[in-house]
Amino acid sequence: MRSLFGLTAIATVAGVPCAQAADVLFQGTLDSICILGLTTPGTLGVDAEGRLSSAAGLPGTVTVLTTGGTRLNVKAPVWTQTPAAYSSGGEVFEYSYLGLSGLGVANVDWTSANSDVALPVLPLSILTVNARAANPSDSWVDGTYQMKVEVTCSAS
Amino acid sequence: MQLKAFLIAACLLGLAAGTSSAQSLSPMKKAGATPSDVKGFQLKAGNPYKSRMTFVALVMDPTFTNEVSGALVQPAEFRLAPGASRTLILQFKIAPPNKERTVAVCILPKDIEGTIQPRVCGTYTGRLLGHPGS
Amino acid sequence: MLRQLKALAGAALLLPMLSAEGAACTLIATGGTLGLAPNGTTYTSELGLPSLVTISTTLLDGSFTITIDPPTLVQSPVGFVPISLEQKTVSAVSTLDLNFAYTSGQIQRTFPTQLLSAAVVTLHHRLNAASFPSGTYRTKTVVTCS
Repeated sequence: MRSLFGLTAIATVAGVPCAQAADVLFQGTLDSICILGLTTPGTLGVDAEGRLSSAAGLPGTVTVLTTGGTRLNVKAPVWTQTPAAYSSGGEVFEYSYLGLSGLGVANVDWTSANSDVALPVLPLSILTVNARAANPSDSWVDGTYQMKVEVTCSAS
Repeated sequence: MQLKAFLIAACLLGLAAGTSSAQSLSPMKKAGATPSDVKGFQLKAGNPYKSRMTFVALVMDPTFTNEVSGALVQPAEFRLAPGASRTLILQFKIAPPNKERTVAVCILPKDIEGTIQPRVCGTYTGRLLGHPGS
Repeated sequence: MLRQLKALAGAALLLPMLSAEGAACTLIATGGTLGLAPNGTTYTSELGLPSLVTISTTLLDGSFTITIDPPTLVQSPVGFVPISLEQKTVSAVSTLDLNFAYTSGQIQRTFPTQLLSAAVVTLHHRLNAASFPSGTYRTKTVVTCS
C-alpha cells in the first residue's frame, strides 16, 4: 500500500509542466495626452513704460508634456481682479512665450493676438509666459491687480 | 516714464518650494453613437505631479470659449492627490432637429494664483444611431 | 497481487532516476505593464507592474543557472526613436540572490545548490527616449533556467 502511495506522489510531480524557458512580455499603450503643469504662478510689477507686467515681476512657467495629436492655444490676458476704484477699459493686453523653440514650437513675442499651434511629441518641457497691460490713462490706482493668460492644450 | 511711487499689491507669489499643479484628461477626443437623445462618455482626469490640487471641470463649446447648456460633467469639482486620477461622466443632450453634437470638457485648477490659467480640454461628439458617421 | 505491487514499487523507485536526467528547475513568469514617468522620457514597469518570475527546483543535488536574455523592443509606434532599453532584477529571497542593477545586456547567475522552496524574482523593464508618441509599446525578454 505504501508503495502505491509513493507511486502516486511521483506520478503527480512528473505530471507538472516543466517550463525551462519563459517569454516575458511588458506592454503599455499611450493615448494621445497632454499634461499641463503650472510651476511658477508669475507676479506683476510696473515696467519702465508704466505697464503692469510680469516681466517687471516674475514670469509664469508652465510645463507641457504631450504624446502628440494635440495643440496649444494661448490668449491675451484678461483682468481677473482690479481695485474697486479702478476703471477698466481701453487697456492694451499682451502676452509672450518662449522655451519650446528647440522642440519645434516657435517663440511668440509680445502680442495681443491669440496663438494656436500644433504641438510635436514633447517630453516634460518648460514654457515661460509673460503678461502685461498698458493703461491708456497712464495711471494705476492703489490696490490689487490680477490678470491671467489662458493656456489651453487640446486634441488636434 | 517716471515710475509711480505707489503700492501695487501684485498677485500672490505662491513660490513655496515644490508648488506646482498639473492636470491631464483622457481621452482627449472621442465620438460615439447613442440610441437616445442623450450621449455619455466616461473620461479620466489625472493629477500627475507632486502636489494635491482641486480641479474644476466645465462643459464648453468646441472652441473652448463659453460654457454650454444641456450638458453636464460630474463631478464638476474634485480634489486629487499627487499621482491620483478619477473618472468623470460627461452627458449631453442632442436636441432636435440636430442629429449630432460636439461639446468640450476643460479641466482647470481651481482658484489658482498667478498670471497663467492652464487648461486641458477634450472634444466629444455624440451622434444619433442611424445618422451617417455613427 | 503482491508480486504486481512489488513490480509497481520498483517502477516507482526508477522514476526519480529518470527525472534527474530531465529539467533541473521550472519557471512561471507573469507579464508586466509600463507606465510613463512624469518627465516623459522613461516608460517603465516601475510605474506600471513588474514581471514576477517564480523559480522552483527539483529536490535533487546539483547547481542550476538562471539566464535572462537582453531585453528587446518588439513593438512601438511609427516614428518612435528609442535611446535604450534596460532590465533589472530584484530578489528578496536570501537563497536566490538575483539582484542586478539596470543593464541592457544579459543577466546570468549560477547557483550551487537547489532551492528548498520556490522563489520569486521581480523583473523590471525600462525604455528610455527623448519623447514618447502615442501608441502601443511591447518589450520582451526570455528567462531560462537550466
